This record gives sequence, structure tokens and C-alpha cells, in this order.
Amino acid sequence: MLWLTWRQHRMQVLLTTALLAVLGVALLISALGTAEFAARNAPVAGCMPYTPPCSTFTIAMNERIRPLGELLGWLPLLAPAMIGAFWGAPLLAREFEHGTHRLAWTQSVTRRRWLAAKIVGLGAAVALGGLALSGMVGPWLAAFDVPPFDVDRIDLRWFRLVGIVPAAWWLSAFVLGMAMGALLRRTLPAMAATLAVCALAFFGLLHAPPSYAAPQRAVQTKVMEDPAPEDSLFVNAYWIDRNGTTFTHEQVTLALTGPCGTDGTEETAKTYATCSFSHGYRQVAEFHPADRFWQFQWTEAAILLVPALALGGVAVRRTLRPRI
Amino acid sequence: MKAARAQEMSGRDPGEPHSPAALEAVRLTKRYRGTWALRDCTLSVPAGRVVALVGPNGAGKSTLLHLVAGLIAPTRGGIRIFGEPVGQRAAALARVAFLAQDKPLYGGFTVAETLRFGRHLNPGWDDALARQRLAELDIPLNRKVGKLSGGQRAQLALTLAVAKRPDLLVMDEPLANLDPVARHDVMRSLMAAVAETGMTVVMSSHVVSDLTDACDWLVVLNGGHVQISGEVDELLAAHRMLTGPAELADGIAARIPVIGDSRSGRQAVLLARTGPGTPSHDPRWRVSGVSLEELVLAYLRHPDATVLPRPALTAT
Repeated sequence: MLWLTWRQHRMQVLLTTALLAVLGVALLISALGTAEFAARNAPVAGCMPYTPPCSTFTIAMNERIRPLGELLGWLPLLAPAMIGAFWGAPLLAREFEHGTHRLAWTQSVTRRRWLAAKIVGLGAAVALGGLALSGMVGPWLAAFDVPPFDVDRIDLRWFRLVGIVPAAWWLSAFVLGMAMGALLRRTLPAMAATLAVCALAFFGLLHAPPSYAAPQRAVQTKVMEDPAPEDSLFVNAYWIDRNGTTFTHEQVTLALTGPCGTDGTEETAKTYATCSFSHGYRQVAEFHPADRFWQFQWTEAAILLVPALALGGVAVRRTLRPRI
Repeated sequence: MKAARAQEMSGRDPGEPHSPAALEAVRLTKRYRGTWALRDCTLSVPAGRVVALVGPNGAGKSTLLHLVAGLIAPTRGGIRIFGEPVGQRAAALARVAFLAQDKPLYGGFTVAETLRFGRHLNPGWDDALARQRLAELDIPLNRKVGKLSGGQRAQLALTLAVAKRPDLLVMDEPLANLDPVARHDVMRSLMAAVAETGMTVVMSSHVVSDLTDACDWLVVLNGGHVQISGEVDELLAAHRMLTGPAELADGIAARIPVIGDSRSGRQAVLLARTGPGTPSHDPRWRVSGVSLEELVLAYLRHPDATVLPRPALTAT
């Protein structure tokens, strides 16, 4: 049975493996180059932020991370969509379309075993693929995480490329595609429906992680302080006055135009900030600390996998029921 | 293995009390969204037969065969194959091979990979038989299935079914979409396989003449009902074509069952069930034998007339 699964789906398996391998080589080269660059150019520990030695390094690192980072940015949308459309959707739809289910189901193997071999075999391969992606992106990101340059895995730019979230996206897209194939019984409509649902899920969840938990709130305690910790996930920022009334940045600027002048140049920035502080305005930040990373990863995995597996269960039941 | 099979063949006496029927359906009913595909079909076919399942389009032939192959479940009633209920058990699946009408095969597989598919999915797979058949048919093992001709595809699909070594081979319109030469070849190689293995075969067709030479049991399905089920020779022996004066036709019809009745002017041609043996009657009637095609046609035109086995067979 495993041979049959492999024989029927080897194109997808080989192509995905090849793409992952190419990406892996690119990431490896980039990581090695960056590690060498960082070892030579990183400023000594504890350099002041926004001072020239720090900024030069940060800008250089940013330039290095950008090309691959932009490419990787497409993966959270494209990879699950492709997995769903090319691994999942044809799995059953092709059989129904070509009538080969009547061939497969009249051999000496029960429908249950046949289906289990396909879903478990390919599902495991898909999940492994997702884990392989995060297993390659993780060390690559670690190569860039050299202070003062800062890479946060909880940042939405990287959140869907590390940990278990890629595997969860890939696996649920695969199950979704399989279910669409079982329900629609035609390959192209199943692929189209899978792509549509994947895109909807992606854009629906695009900015969702900050709402996976109630954010922590921190109030500025001294002048020029950023109340949110460095490696946290930013949610919201606003101002309050002594009474606790909230203000937007623009409202504060408007209110202070008279007493503090304008926040124009860098030199006046500190004076302006001191003035606003003395008038009782405090900056407030809402954020998620970095240690919520795994909580958020599992939350997103559950949001994806629970409905996908429920739909997959319905599709499997329908397929196992003896009807044409 | 072959010796045992041969013995099985030699002992294929339909009257043998303890051998279970190859195929037994009791009050089999299948309904698709309000339309009845099959209604109360009761049917029993002894082992070792080559059964022709005949009926007009939409009579329920495919439904019946899909039920036998376990691809669909009946709305009511049940089927037993060699005494065991049809179902999703590996042992039950191994006994029946099914050849669907469009002869589905994986187009991207090579012929050799198709055989490997059969070997992996069937514990009773007879690889030597499969390879020998393909060699005889000159079908190259390294050819892609999608590049085979229609006849070769049919032969490969048939090979896949036969090499499974089933006790019952079920084929849905095996000759449809084949040219006359391919029809002949497929039928001949099927008959060779039947002679070698002794398996029971059920095949459907809406063209009776396709099956006349090969089959020794006839089942006629009409409008979801079984109209005829019986041995071909017995059926032919029990029916006669009577040609005679039209004014006497009603008198005949009162005495014996008349299935077909066509009158032109003063002459009447009756297809009558006279029972075994030549009927003794009026010399004004000319008596002749019937062909299977005439018999089937006459029954299909009269859906109320039936020839079914003795109740003893169906009661079980």
C-alpha cells in the first residue's frame, strides 16, 4: 500500500523535497555568510541604540536578511495553498474523476486501509515538510539574532515560518484539499475551492495572533523610555494623562503645541519628551512578551487543525460509506 | 492449486445440495434519491457458470453488478457470494474481481507497474498467469497504460481481474467501446481464463448476441426486476416458435403461456413456453426452435412474463 501511495504521488513528494532542498541551501549559504559577517563586525556588547556603530551594523544586517526574508514572506500563503491544491485535492478527486476508485476498491484491500495508507502516509510527509521548513528557517534566523540586531520569532514577520505553525498550516491545507476532493469529486473544482479557502484562512488570520491572549499593558515610567520590552509582540500604543484618559499621538501633539513647541528635530526630541512627561502625559504600550511564543503557536495550530480535521473526518466517512 | 480447481470444475453440478450458490441475492433493492434502480431482486446463480446479465439500458444491470462488487450498499435485502455476505473485509474482497464499464486503470502507470499494483493489493495474485497472458497478447510491460490501444487496455484490465484469482469475476459491459476484432479477442481470452481457472463469471451487456456463444446462464433484468434467471439450454428447450393460422392463436394462448405474439393477416407467430419436450398438438402449427436473442426480446417486450427458478432455491 505504501508503494502505491508513493507511486501515485511521487511527483508532489519529489518536487516539494527539491524545493525545500533548494531553499535549505540558500538559507545555509546566507546563514554562514551572516555568521561570519556578524563575528567580524558586531559591535561590543552593550552599545547604545541609535548611535552610529550600532546603526551601521543594524542596517547591514537588515540588508542581509531582506532578500531571503521577503521571499520567505510569501511562503505562509503560497506553501499551504500549493500543498492543499496539489497534494490534497487530487488525492481522492482524481480517483473519482477517472473512475479508478472502482479499480482500487475492488482489490483485496479494504477501503479503510487504502484510505488510511494514503492519508497517513502523505499527511506524515506533509507535516514533516512543514517541520523541515521551520527547522531550516529557525537556525537561519538564529544566525541573524546578534545584538544589537534583533530577530523576534513572535514577530508576525517570522511567526508563521518557525515552530509548529508551518506544519500545522501545511497539514490542515492537505486535509482541506483531501476533503474538498472527496466532497466535490472533481480535481479542478476541488483545487479551486482549496485555494480559495486557503487564501481566506490566510488573510483572515493574518493579523490574528495578537488577539490569541489578552495583551500585557505597560506604562512609561521615565522620559524617553519605550514601555514595551525589546523582543515582544507589539499590539497597541497610546497616551494617557494624569486622570487616566486615553489620547492618540496626534491629540497629545496638538495639546502640547503651546507649552512644549513642536517635536521637530532630533536635538529637540529629548526636550520635547521631557516637557510632555512633565505635563503628565505617559506613553502606554500593549504587547505580548516573547515567552508567549509557544502558547501562540499551539493556539494557531489548534485554530487550523481542529476545523480541518473535523472536515477531513466528514470526508473520510463519506468516502468509506459504500456508495459510488 | 490447479488440480483443486479442476476438481471444483468437474463437480459443478447445479443440483448439488451443499455447495453454496456463487451469487445469491434476496429481495435486493437499491434506491437512488427516490428512483428505484432495483426492486426486490431475488436471484441465485450456481458456481462455475458464465452468466449473461442482459437488459435494456437503465434496467439496473450496473447497479446490480456494483452491489455484487461491494462498491455500493443495498437499500434493502442482501447478497451472498459463495455463502458469505458482501462487505468491506479483505477475505470477501479477495473472492470477487470487478471490471467496471470504462475499464479504469492508472494511465500514468506502466503495464509492469499495473501488475505491481495488483501484486501489492492482492494476496492471491498470480504473477505468472498475468505475465503469460500479457506475453501472449503482445502487450509490452514497459509501455505506459495511457499509450495502450482500447483493446489492449481492456485486455490489461481483464488480466488484472483474472490474475487476482477470484472465485467470481464480475464485468460490467466488458465489450462496450471495443471494435469487433477486440471484442472477439477479449471474449476468447476470457473464455480461456475461465477454462483454466473454473471461476464463475457474471457479465452484463445490452447486446445479447455478444454473449450468446460464451454464456451458459441467462439473467434478464428489466425495469429493476429479475425477469429470467436460468440455464441457457433449459430456457431454449422450454420455448418454441409456433407459426400457424391467426384464428387459432387465442386457443393456444389459453393453454400454454405465450410470450411473443406477432400476427400479420391470417398468420400468427407465437413464442410460447411449451416446457421441456416437443409439444404434441395440431399439425396446422409449424414448430421451430428459438434463438436466445428472440427469447430475450420477447420477454423484454412483456415485462410481466417471468421465468424464475423453483421457489426452493429462492426461499433460502
